[in-house]
Amino acid sequence: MWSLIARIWQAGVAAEPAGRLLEPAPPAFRGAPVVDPARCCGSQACVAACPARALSWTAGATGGAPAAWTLDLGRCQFCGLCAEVCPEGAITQTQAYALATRSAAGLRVATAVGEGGKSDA
Amino acid sequence: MRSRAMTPEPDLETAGPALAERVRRVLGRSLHIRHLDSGSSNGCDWEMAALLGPVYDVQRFGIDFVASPRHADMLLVTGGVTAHLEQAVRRTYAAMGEPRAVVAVGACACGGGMAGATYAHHGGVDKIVPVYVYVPGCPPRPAAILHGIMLALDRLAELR
Amino acid sequence: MSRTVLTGAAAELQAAFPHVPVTAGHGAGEWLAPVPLGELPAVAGWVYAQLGAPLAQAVGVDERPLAGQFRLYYVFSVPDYRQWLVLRADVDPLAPSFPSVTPAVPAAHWYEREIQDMLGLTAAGHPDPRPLVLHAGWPHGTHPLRKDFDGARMPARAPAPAPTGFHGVAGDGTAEVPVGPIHAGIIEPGHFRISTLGEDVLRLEAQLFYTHRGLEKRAEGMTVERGLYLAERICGACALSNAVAYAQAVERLTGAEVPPRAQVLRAVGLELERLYNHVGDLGNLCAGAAALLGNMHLLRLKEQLQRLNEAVVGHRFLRGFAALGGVRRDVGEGALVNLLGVLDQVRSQFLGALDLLAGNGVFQDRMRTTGVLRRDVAEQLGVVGVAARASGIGRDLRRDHPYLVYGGLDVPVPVYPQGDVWARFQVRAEEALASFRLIADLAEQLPAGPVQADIGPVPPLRHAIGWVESPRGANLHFVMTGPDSTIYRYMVRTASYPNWAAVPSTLPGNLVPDFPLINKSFELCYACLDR
Repeated sequence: MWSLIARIWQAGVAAEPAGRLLEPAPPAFRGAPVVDPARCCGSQACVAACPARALSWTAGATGGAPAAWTLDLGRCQFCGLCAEVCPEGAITQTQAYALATRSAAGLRVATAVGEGGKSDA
Repeated sequence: MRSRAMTPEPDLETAGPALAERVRRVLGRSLHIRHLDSGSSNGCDWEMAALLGPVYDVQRFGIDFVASPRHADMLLVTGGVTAHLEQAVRRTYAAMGEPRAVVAVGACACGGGMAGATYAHHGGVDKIVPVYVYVPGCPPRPAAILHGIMLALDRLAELR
Repeated sequence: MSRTVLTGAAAELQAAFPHVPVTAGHGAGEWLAPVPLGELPAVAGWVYAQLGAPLAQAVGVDERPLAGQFRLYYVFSVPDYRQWLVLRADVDPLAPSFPSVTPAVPAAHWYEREIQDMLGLTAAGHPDPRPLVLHAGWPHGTHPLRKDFDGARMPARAPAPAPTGFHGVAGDGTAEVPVGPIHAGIIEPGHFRISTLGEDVLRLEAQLFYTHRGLEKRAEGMTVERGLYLAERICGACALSNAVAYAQAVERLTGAEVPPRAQVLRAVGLELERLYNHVGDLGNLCAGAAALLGNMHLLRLKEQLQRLNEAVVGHRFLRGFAALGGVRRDVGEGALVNLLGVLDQVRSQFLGALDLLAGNGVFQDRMRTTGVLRRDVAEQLGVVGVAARASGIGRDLRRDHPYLVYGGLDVPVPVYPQGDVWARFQVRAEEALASFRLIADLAEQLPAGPVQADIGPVPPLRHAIGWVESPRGANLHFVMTGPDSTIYRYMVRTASYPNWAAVPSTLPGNLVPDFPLINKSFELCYACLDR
């Protein structure tokens, strides 16, 4: 019994402190990809490479809305291939992981890209 | 550079106490969750099981996983609903009392995953029952699932 | 095409059946023997009985668009020669039936039932021809792996009846306890019918394939590059094993060479996978016997190991690590040093947990003589991995059919004769301890160089197998390319496939409360069986 108590003492508190539960993931973590609007050239290499068909690129109207790079987080496999194949290095795989949304529409994240594109952060 | 949807919930420092407080406020008691595997690859299941383990220990927040939908406030569904489990999903949902929050956990549950829609796989939980919260990931980390549960709690509060 | 000199088992097979032209397959050690359909059971039986070669996989393929026939491939493992013998037979579409190999090779039983369901070919003489993969209610004539079946559309299906087709038992005081498919805890779906007399289990029957998603059909038409991401997601717990086995099949198809650094990194990843699975499975085994202290200690360690996976490779289940031709990302010196440091700590705590459990008399008593898998049953059903080694069958692909750098490593293969829950516990514990050492050895011999090579052009109309010893046992991936070099057929047979078939035999003679414990002592995946 004493060895058991000693072991419990040694093991300490296993539970992660509540305040640390939603800490950032480690640098290597494969999280959500984001695009740099200024660098996207519309090659759609990412769209073709995505194994889950989670990406789409729609051209903008001339003089109207800019082009849009859309990621469907519900389909995304977080594999990072899009970042690998982008010829302009416009896509970065971040460590973002807390991505829950209330609607299916909320899963589709659109970023205006190319000329006239800017982030909405 | 990142669009708003990517940023985690702001109250990181108080996640734990805030979670327990939210649970109490919304339900007046503890939160009972029913897990339902509708055809997952088991990655999401393992991450959910980790929540009950000693490190995440969600029971200390008043959250518990229960053995029957009749005891549950929230349904966490993994997998994109196979043909063989469609009836199980419908019956489980029907057996829950209101208010009931369905959370789709993982890429398959949210949008079909790599399997997509096939002869044997519907390709998403919302094709069978209404989904209140979607948790992306393949699989989502336990912390991401916890974040999804918090979001679903907010919706439950609105439903009351 | 030059004639290759036949060696080992291939030569013996040729000598025994001179009219069967045995040729070299793709990839070293693979041999192909086209057998007349009527002689299939005789030749297969000879390979099993005379060569002592267990059946490792059997695949049915609809090659009507290619060769006007259905084709069956039976893959046998010959560890003595480190060879794979593939018997191939053609089935005429106008006479869609084949003589069952099961009476001669019992391990063929589930493969042939699956071929019946998925291709609509009748296994004549099969002792148990019930449907396996497709539950009741599908429209008559639904055979998903036929090329004229639209895999993207779900046919209208009759509402699912309760699971049927069980034999059950009859008599005074007997009862049938149905469990699942949806279970009380956080666990995958499967239906079990326990026939009892009071607390004693007379019989266990199972209906699985609830999580059948149609992944193999889904793979057809994909590029081999895209197929990797599907392979990774068949299962969570065997993600890297499946990814590497698939990648190796493709690399054998193209003749690609994986750079040495990548080979070692793959092996490190595979041992990390073995580690977190074994530690976690031992923890779950404890839960099966309500030894919650052991459960909590081991789950804490499992969490540390999964966080380690995330820190080193970027994913808790090691997805996104394997690439065709190597690995996706390098692992730096700093990460390696950190890895070894964490493993050192985890190892000593693991030993502490094992010690704790060894001293728990009630737990040890629950495990001993419970859920015995008899050696002869395991042998006949082609059981692999932990379950086999705990029943006296010393098989391990790392030693028997070495891949990556395992040929140069000292891989211990612990074998226990008892076949009970305790033996399966011991095998896992010893293998986990061995994995700590293997990772350290691998890190030491990590050579410099690139971590990925171009696999080159993918040839059309070629098939190959890739294999890995996953935490549960042998995983085999059969990949065949079509005329446009996309995937024509993809069949995944993980360790869970033969092993699930053996689980029911371990229940009679035990108590109903032993069922969860026995199930957890196997800890098989439903997802990689069901696909």
